Amino acid sequence: MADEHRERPRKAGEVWVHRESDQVAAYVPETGHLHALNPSAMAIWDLCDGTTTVGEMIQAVAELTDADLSQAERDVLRTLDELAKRGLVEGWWGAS
Amino acid sequence: MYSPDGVFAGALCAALAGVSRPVRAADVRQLLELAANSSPDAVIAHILPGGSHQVITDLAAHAPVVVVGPDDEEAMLMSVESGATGYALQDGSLQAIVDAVEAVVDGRAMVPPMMLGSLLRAVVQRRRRQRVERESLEGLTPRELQVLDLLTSGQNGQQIARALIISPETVRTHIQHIMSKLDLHSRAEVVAFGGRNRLEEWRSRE
Repeated sequence: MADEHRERPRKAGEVWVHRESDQVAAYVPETGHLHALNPSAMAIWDLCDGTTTVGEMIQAVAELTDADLSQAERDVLRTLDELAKRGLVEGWWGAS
Repeated sequence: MYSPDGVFAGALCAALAGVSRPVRAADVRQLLELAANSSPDAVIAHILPGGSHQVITDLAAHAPVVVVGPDDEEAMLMSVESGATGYALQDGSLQAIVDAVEAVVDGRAMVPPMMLGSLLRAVVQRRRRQRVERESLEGLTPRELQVLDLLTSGQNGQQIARALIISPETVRTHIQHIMSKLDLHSRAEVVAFGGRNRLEEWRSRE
């Protein structure tokens, strides 16, 4: 299941990140948009390095959070969809 | 719960008193006894830097474990790999520890949110390393795999020779071939490699 996801999303262009306590703000200078990210979304965004496959992300989330693979898959894909919609990642064209 | 820091343990007990009935152990041995005999909802273990992680594995056999430890990625990953379901920072707030306890009692895992990214990266890297190591096992002959398994299980050259009905010199040759094929440089490295991979494979067959 997780192995099917061979996409390798990467962070989009220039993004300024400010971390404070459990809050993360990501500013995209190109669009002028400021995005508030929760720590889970930030963790997935951190993994978007152009080398880590989505399948690897799903397996790591499942292992670290004791979630089953299908739950981890849903969480990771939904997060990537959201990050892509905000213009924070490239190389991801949606879960479907 | 147990912490080697008495003041910290007292404060944590007070913080937990609002949500549960904490029982404080005098030492790790008593903590293990309590975990084994009193069916707690969760166990809190304060592990100092350099402390043994085996105790986490032993505790996790009885109840979900929250480790309180340093703000250190390696220590956190070791704790999670040893069986901890929750991890809270010893220098963080007591409420964060209480939150972690409530989470693991609910059946959820809980690590400090801001450490999630680096932990996920560490897990990805470890899984990649394991995959490469498993693939390198495919280059070994069936006989070399037997020698690797016996070496990993703690047998010396003489014992392996007797078990496989071959000469000690042949065992040495097999070990040299294993080291060469796996790019390892000592018997200790071979044993560690076997422990990480072959033993895991045995367990998955059970």
